[in-house]
Amino acid sequence: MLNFLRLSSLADVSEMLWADGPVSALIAGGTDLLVRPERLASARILIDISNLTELGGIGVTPDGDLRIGAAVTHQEIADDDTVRRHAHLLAQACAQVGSVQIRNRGTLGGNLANASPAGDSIPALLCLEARVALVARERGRAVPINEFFVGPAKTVMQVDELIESVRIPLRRGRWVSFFEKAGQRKGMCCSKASVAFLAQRHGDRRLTGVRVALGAVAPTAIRVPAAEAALEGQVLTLERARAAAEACREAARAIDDIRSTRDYRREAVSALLLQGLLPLYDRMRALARPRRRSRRRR
Amino acid sequence: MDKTPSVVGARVKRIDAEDKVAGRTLYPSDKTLPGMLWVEVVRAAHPHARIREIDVKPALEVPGVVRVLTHRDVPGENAFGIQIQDMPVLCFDRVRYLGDAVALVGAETRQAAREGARRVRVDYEVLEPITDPEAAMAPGAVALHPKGNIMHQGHFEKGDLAAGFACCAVIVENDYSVPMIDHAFLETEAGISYYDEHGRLTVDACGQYIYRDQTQIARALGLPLHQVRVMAPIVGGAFGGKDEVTVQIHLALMTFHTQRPCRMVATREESIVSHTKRHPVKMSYKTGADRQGNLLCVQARFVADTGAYASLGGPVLNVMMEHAAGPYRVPNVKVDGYAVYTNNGFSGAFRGFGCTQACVGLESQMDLMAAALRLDPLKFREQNVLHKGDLAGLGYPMTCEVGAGRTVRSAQRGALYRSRRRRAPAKPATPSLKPYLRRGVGVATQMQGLGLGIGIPDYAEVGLDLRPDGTLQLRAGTNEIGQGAYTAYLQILSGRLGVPLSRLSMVGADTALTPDSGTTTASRTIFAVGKAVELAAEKLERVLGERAERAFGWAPGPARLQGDQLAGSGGRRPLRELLGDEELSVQAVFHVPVAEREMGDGLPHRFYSFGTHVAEVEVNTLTGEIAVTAVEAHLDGGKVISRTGFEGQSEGGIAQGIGYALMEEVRLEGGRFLTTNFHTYVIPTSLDVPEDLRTVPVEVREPEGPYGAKGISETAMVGVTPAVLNAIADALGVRFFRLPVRAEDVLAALQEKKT
Ligand SMILES: Cc1cc2nc3c(=O)[nH]c(=O)nc-3n(C[C@H](O)[C@H](O)[C@H](O)COP(=O)(O)OP(=O)(O)OC[C@H]3O[C@@H](n4cnc5c(N)ncnc54)[C@H](O)[C@@H]3O)c2cc1C
Repeated sequence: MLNFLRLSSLADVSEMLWADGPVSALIAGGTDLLVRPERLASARILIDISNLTELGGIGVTPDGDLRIGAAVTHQEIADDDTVRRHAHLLAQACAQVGSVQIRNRGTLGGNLANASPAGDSIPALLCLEARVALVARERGRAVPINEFFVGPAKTVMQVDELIESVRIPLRRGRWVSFFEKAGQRKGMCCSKASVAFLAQRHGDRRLTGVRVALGAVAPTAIRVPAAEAALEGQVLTLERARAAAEACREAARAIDDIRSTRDYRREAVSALLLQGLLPLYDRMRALARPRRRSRRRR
Repeated sequence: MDKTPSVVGARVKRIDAEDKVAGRTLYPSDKTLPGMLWVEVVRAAHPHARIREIDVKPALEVPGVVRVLTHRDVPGENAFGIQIQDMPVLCFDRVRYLGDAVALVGAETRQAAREGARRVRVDYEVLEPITDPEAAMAPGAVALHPKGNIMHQGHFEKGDLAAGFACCAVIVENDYSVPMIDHAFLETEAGISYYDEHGRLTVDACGQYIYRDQTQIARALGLPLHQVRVMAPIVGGAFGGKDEVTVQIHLALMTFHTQRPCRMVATREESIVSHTKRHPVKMSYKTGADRQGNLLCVQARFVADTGAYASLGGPVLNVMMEHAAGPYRVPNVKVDGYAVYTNNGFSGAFRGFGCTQACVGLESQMDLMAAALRLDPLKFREQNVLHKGDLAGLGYPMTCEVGAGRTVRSAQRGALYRSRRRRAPAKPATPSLKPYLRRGVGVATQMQGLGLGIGIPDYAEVGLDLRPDGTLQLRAGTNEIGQGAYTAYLQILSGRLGVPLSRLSMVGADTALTPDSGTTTASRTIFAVGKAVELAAEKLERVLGERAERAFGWAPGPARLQGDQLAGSGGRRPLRELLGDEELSVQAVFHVPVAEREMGDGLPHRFYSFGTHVAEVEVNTLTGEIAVTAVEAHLDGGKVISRTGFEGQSEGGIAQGIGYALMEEVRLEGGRFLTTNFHTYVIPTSLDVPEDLRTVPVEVREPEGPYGAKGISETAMVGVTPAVLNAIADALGVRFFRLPVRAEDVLAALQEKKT
């Protein structure tokens, strides 16, 4: 018998988890949980957290973080102006999750707790150096995103903990970013490989604060310091873009599975980075040329 | 002057649209009955094993389990199969694929039924699975069936191949491999069973031919036909995958033994494991043409993996061989085909029915020959297409109307083909440069036999009831399977009788109410059933005329309906004066004309549809991803009856053809399925199908069909796959011989090309 519970406060949920952690499962959008009957089978209580106001909302905290509630959906993130202003990369990634239906239900918290190596929000959050705010009955902690995942489907969360929100430090300056993914098809598609990129763009065409992260090519999403180093503090050139792409290929610890092959995944992360950098390269060259007539209108 | 009434060929709203959109339509998986039992199947635990013992006791101990059935409980013949009854209803000595049914559990709840199914203990002696068809064919291989593993073979020869090749300026020889694919119908196998008010054992479930299902149920249960009733008016998709019996006999068996209504709904995992698939085929083609571009030789060899049981594997192979030389005039042809038993699932009917596979090989060859001869691909095809009276590949004359050439010319005039020299994509997704995208345009021409072919009874009977108020009800035994045929039947009826659609209604697929209209397969229903509708309309007017002659003294001749009035030589009279309160029913049957000489089961056909597809792709040379960006379909299905249905078939066919080309593949390892559901078995989504879809009717009227109509549902799909393949080759200068062509394959091929 499976019980479905909807509680009115985070405190009640924490209480439940503390008491019945092992036999209860949280459900937010249900887009991961409901398609995995084996995981449902071990649960006796489903606790719906999608309606908890404490887990909702997008805003800037007094200490200067962008806070996104765990139960916020991918679509809400993709459409949100605050996110687009301060963490455009995350909006770009969330906009590419699944399909309209999945984005309307699936949540950021679910994506993180699910801890799939292919979760699309994760490489973006790695670049953005986010922290995952966890709460339990009488304690709370913020785990840097790069310490949150332990392996496929494994996180540092304790049975009585849940994700309250994701915190992203605000940035100054002009930033460029992209999220590129390759899958078996265009819609409703689990990434075979993905690349998130973030960098600060300067008037002299240099890039700093370069962050490159890969999804689906290692047990957890990974940053690629070598690729970042290849671009850091430099003007973007095709050679540098290729070097960074090569570094991604080297960094990938991919596997063969039903969706793709190890070799393809390694090629794909390199290709995806290039694919994302090429338009950036074009754009930056165009910006550098003085007084171009065909300035893109807003 | 075209005297076709305007309702024929029009875009009309489907009669089932509103109920379906509003969710009111009851599909087989929606149906429930009070007091029903859930039925679950215990399926084979191994793709190949001997059964030593089946112990049902542990299952019976599960609370809620009412009955467990095994082979001992099959009162009639424990065998089924459309053509050869080689498939056990419930296995007794051996299992041959993972979908084999070993026992049935009937329980008060689905959970109890599942738990019961889990508890049935089957003691197996596991045998080595036979997974390679070539090895299965070899002498000394372990036989899966008494007559050996070659389920069916065919050999045809025409002309003198050696002499023909000697005259060729270009000879192209290649091996091709196409995968097993799943129909991916939306609704899994489902239905209910019960005893109806007349005591008939009734099965209301998915299916594609109620009268044959009735025969198969009756045979297995040892019942006379009239004690079995089968219904399947509305089915949630099939594409051939529900042609063979699925849940019907199991449902009937449980109701028979428990006297209770029963229900089954397969999970997707169970569905994928159990139902037929498209045959995976390894084929070799050697073809040649002379310097002037005349196709002289086609030599083909097919090895089709038919899996564990026959189903329609024989006819599928026959159709593959029949279409091996495609819609072309070829003097020298040699075709060898084998359908081989293995433990790889089991294969059978699927949209295109064998033609699909052959077309992939042949249309690739056509492009390769055209390139070698430096000929335009469509000109090369046009030069060689069949015309009426020509001898087809296997040597019989084409006696139907042949629109192949017209579809080619229509494609030549189309915008897509005329743009084929352009290399760069027309509208890159973003304004920035994408130098890594390569554009290509490809074509394929195709023909597809219509109906069941010679030797397999192919007829359609319908009933027509006229009510005293002048409204009519059509009764036809075929299914509404998503294709919209019921609406098209009424369009034909409306056209013939001059009665508006609003006064017509439809009763479908119930052996107790509707005559035998034949199968809902083989692109045949508009053609065969539609023709029967025409005949019924004519008969009705004749009968009305005769009765008006007797009753009102009108001059002999047909009478016409005008609202609730009857019009004829004697003017107009209210219909009620003739019919009183009674209804007037007529039946009409159309026997589909057949070829002059039979060459094998269903071989050849007398009628064919034709089509030329043009596809545009953009290949991303960085990631290897392929996007189909436009497709034009130039289809000769004769006169179009329902424009909406015609376009629907075409667009669905395009999606399915793209899936076959780029992503779909049922993957097996040692007879076990690796792609177990839609999570891993991927089919195209709406984002994978181009927005730019154009369907151009090329209406070459076939006088034998209703208003000159033929069928379109398979032609709409078959040519798409090779057109996409040819477009990829055009884009990259690299050709693929194995489907599906995935990004992985593209990158590997591009790397190989570089080195
Ligand atoms: C068709 C389809 C396509 C998909 N495509 C993509 C895709 O393109 N990219 C992608 O990344 N994912 C994809 N997914 C996966 C899924 O949609 C996402 O991972 C989504 O973000 C999950 O969120 P949810 O709210 O639905 O999670 P749920 O299913 O509700 O929960 C998933 C897991 O997280 C736990 N959980 C949920 N919220 C919390 C919380 N606040 N604290 C602690 N634990 C929590 C649950 O207990 C459960 O174990 C797809 C899924 C489907 C079915």
